[in-house]
Amino acid sequence: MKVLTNTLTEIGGLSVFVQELFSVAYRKGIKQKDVLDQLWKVFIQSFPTTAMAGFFVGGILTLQFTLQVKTFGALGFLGGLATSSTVREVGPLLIAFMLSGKIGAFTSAELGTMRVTEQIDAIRCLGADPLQEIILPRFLGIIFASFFLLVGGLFMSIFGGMLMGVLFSGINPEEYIRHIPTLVSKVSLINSVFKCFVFAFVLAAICTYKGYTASGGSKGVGIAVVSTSVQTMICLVFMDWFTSVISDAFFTVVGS
Amino acid sequence: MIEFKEVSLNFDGRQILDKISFKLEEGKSLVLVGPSGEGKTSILKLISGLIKPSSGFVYVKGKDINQLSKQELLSLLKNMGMLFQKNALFDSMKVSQNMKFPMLETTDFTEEEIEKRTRYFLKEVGIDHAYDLFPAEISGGMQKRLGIARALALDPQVILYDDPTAGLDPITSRKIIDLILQLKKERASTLVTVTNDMNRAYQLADHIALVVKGELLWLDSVQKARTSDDPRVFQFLNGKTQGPLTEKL
Ligand SMILES: Nc1ncnc2c1ncn2[C@@H]1O[C@H](COP(=O)(O)OP(=O)(O)OP(=O)(O)O)[C@@H](O)[C@H]1O
Ligand SMILES: [Mg+2]
Repeated sequence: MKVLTNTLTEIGGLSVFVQELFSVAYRKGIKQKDVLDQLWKVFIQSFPTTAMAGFFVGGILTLQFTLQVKTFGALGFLGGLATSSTVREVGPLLIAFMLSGKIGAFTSAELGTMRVTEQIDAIRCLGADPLQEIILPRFLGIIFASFFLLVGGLFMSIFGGMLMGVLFSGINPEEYIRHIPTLVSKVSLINSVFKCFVFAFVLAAICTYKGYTASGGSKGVGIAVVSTSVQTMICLVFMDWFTSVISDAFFTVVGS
Repeated sequence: MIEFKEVSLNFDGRQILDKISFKLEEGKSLVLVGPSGEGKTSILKLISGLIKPSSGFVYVKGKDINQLSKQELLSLLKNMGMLFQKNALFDSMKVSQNMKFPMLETTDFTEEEIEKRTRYFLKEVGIDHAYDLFPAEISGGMQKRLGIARALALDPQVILYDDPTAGLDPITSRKIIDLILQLKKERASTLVTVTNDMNRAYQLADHIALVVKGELLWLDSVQKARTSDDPRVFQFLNGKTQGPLTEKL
């Protein structure tokens, strides 16, 4: 029972927070320079790790599928199979998990420290709005950066899959690529890009919210960071399922 | 200028302030003294709207600050400077950026003006040589002085100083108080200062108030404080360990 109320309180708090951010953006505008700064910072910080993670996710899946397709003598479909499962499910989710440990933890620790050392109060006392000054640029910067990182990571995973296939499964690049379009439909690509966007949003919203509402000294910052990772992961898994459901429903109605 | 009407404050069911009331006229300086942990900082935070009273009203410039819209409150706060007890400096910004931040964000000063004012205030508090350093790279006393300079950056009409001389040597702390007084005279600003350095308190105060056990004892002038026959005031001002303030309840 308590878990339920806690969960609901958290969701409520988060929604109010996000809504507040949108209204600040609408009323006072967005500091584009700050957003770009953040975007760039986050992107550069996480690009190498994301690219590497993407590369290996693709590679591992290819190796996994090799065994199965070989038994059926269908090595030609390796590229299509591996790419489709990476792009649709595993890729975005795994890369987003990694980003939650990186961007999420960093941001909630940074904002949480600013909160408990009263820097956020100080901004307000100087007549500026902390939501507009420090939260909104981070929120938007993280959304865009993670989106690009996720999509970039997916490309890397395709590349990694191909390279592993060529190196260890004895398939040539051309063959590997040939059946990708057969098995990866346009719909699943759109679905996957949509998923990346939703994941980016989840990442950005939770870490800024947790950091902004931290309280109680260094322990409070610790709590904020931990609950950022836990909640982000739970939320990502949930959203993974949810986006699949709604995009299925959507494309059934539209009739792809 | 600043008025408290029956303000009470509770934290987690513990009562910190019990229906305190006072009124501070424009251009006057109030010094809050009192034992540690009895609510002095909380009073400053109530004035700046950082915390809300559990009951009662806080008026600044005749407006109930807890009834203002977010926008109105922010523009009121622009006219209010606050030195935090632990300074609350922006630790990812250089000393100079700490000074410039409020001017960049809330005024339409030109870049030269901002630069000029930054240099002026840093010089006034004697840390102009630290222009390019980060807060973590300057001493505790210098951080305090930067906090003061930042609070003054927007020429506020109301200035709240939480322990401005903590950790400063007697000479520097005297200088800081002289500066505060000089600026107050120039700008006719209203001050509320928390300090337990009684010499500085006497130097600074038009009015003194003792915050103790949820009450605010308004002592009016320095003279009245010194000659008060309230045993609590006597004990506090003379630093006695025996007396009504230290009695177990
Ligand atoms: N955010 C908070 N949550 C819970 N209790 C608090 C909070 N802030 C202050 N308190 C409590 O309120 C009381 C008054 O605190 P306050 O900081 O106003 O004291 P103070 O008079 O400024 O003390 P000092 O002279 O040591 O700075 C303290 O007992 C403190 O424990
Ligand atoms: Mg205090």
